[in-house]
Amino acid sequence: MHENLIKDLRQALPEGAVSTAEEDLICYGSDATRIVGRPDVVARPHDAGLIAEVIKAASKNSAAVSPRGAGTGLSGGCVPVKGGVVVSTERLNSVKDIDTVNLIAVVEPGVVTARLHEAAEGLGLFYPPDPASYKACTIGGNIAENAGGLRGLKYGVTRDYVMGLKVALPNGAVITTGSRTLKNVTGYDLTRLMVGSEGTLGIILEATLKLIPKPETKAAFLASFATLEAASEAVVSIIKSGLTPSTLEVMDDVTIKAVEEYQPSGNDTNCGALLLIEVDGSEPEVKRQADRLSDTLSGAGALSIRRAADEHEQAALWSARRAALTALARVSPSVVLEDATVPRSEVPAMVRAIRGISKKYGLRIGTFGHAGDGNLHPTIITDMRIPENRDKVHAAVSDIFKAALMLGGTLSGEHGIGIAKAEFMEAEVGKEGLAAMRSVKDALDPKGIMNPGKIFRD
Amino acid sequence: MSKPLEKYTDMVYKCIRCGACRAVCPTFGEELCETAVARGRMALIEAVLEGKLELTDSLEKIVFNCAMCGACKASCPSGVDVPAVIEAARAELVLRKGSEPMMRYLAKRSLKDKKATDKAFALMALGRAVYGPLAATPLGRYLPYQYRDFKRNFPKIPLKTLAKRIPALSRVDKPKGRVALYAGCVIYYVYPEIGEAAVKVLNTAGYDVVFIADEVCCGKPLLSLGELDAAKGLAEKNVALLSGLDVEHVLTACPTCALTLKEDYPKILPESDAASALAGKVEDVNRFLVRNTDILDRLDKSGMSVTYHDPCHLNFGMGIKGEPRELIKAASGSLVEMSEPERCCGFGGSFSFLNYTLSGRISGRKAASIIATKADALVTACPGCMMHISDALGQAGSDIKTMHTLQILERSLKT
Repeated sequence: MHENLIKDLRQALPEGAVSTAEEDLICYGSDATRIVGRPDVVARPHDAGLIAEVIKAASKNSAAVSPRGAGTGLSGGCVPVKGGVVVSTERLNSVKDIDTVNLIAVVEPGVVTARLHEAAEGLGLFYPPDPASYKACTIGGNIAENAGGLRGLKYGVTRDYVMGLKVALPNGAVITTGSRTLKNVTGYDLTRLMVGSEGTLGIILEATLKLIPKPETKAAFLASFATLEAASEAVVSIIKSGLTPSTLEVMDDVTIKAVEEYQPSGNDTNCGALLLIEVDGSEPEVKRQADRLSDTLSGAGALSIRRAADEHEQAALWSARRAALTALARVSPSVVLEDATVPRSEVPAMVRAIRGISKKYGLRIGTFGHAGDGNLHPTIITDMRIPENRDKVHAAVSDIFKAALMLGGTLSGEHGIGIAKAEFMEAEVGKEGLAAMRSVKDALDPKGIMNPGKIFRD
Repeated sequence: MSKPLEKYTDMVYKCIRCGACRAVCPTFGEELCETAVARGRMALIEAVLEGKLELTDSLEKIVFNCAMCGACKASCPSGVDVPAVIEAARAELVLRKGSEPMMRYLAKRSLKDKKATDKAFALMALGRAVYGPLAATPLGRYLPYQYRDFKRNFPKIPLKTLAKRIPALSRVDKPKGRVALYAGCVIYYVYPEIGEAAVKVLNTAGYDVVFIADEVCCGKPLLSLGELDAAKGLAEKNVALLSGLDVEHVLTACPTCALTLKEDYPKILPESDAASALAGKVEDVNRFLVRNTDILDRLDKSGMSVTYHDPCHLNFGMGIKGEPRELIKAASGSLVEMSEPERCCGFGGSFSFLNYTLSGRISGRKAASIIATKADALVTACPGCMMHISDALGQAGSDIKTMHTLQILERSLKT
């Protein structure tokens, strides 16, 4: 127990912002991985300025600081594995400014991503990153994990929209990185260093984000294929044809069946895979893209091609994809969702590898995800309360990582390394690569208080 | 000793902690903390089941700090029946801790049988007659529910209950069929005019209406308070009164009652075939009117501009969103949607009595959405929501009228 830490926090923060109630220690101890930690204390400031005070108190007492947004992460990024203080940014939720000339939004870290979407779209602007949890997750967490989403192929990921940050460093100093300008080459790009640093280098207090004009219109297609391999070959054809769909999603037969059971929508459950494709832009541009897409899909051996005639039908097509994780989650008590990512030319090979791993361990794996950017979500459906299953899952996940790396891919496309993937870091970045990252970490956080246990194995 | 919570172990474990409930939970929307959202509540209940957490007073507060709207259940990827789990946790608390605050004691006493309920509401009618004027005086601040931030307006309670207003059978010439009306306490005692409207509208649609004046409370308030056994007694009584009726449907104009009769009765009376039979016959009056009758052709558009609030138990509980809107459009001609029409009004039955400050913040948000529409009337399909929303609108200084769908239909019936 960090009694002095708790005392210092109570002194630095107003009443109600610091809790040691057993209930809070439980509720703020885990995220969507269900990995469980236990903080000594939870801090929930109303004022971003107070976050630096929390860090100072933790530093003084050499206690761990685990930043937390909405706790929707899928890598254990906010789980307090070394006790100390959990700092929740959920109360810091104001959209401070939307600048329609410079196309910029300035937000506090606890702003829910969907709220930023609404605020921008209300003014004819667009903030593209849309992680699946966008209705609940927060911008601070999105930046810390460099979250992706369905629109990555055409629009990139969170990283591509962060222009500047205000960050509280592990020594309690507050720095401002980047600017409101599109061009900025002043010194090291600390903004990019912070994006995806998983809370190990500091806590984001404010973000300046890039917005773009909202695309005029869009068209959506659903195409079925005999096999997952055929669908992933079609993905390659689409890209080769020069098209850049705004989304290009795939679902395999395991997922399709689960979805159809969960919400019957008349999709062919005998096909091997579905592709859901959306193109956007101006009216003539969308028409041109849609025509070319239809041709490409037929040429790639699609069994059926459905085009959504209006927004209502688009929503219907989307509902199947949106229900993917939901439907798989209902099949058994636990789901283990991975996000190993490969260059998109290797999607067919990765798909085959996942099939093999599923067979090897006798585990049911539903695969869906962002085929267009090579970011697949092999999802293991099991019951993690049974120890034997845990071992099998661990081995299978390790094989999935190895396969992705073999194909020139990465351990994590959008969820982050967090706790569970830390042991595989060296395999991807190498001994020296990891040492370089470590020296950045040590330089900024010599006491090692910021989110220990994440990215690096301690 | 039975353990109400234990059978929900697997259900609780199904929560994958994704946090989707944070986007829809009305208490989270105000409190912005994990202990006020379904995910946190499930984590705590799981800890209790695993023996890692005691049933402390603070946990009791958390478990009772839920409006039971069911928005989380409707948006849960894993299909966790959160309200059922919370109800079981409350029952467990009542069983294990025994002690009960006054509110729960009063609810138990006044709902246990018809006579007690009659008396309780008659007392409340008198109490309300004094409470209103008294609340306006300097002494008002000593009254319950007159806080600095929220000064609750209670509806006037008439002494003449629904039983004294409508007959056991309201006949029409050449009936198309026969239905029963189960009013539920709020309509029976507080808004009997809704019951009268129901009879008028259903008669116009060509249906004979049976009304059992001896009906008792559906039992939901007791279930929500964890008083499983007391609720069971009420369920048995209602099943005995209603299941044998020779009617096509038992209609309700209170979605909470409907959901209780439909979903809870078969669960709390698993041995009773009559309870299951009754559950199959229960139907929401809005859906019945749209699906089974030609009422839409029997309305003149009033021209009144109306906004509609989705009652949680109708929308999240029974998936009914379209029918009340169809009725409103036919009756008024003008439906203006408010922002977040499906967000809970904050009533939650006993929730609004046990946690009025939080409940008032939730209803304040609802009132703001309603006022922004500039509509003439707020229409909803639940008498509980009506009570709470008219309180919030009053506090916000708005004179927008609050009406039940049946009342707006009644006004627009072709003569």
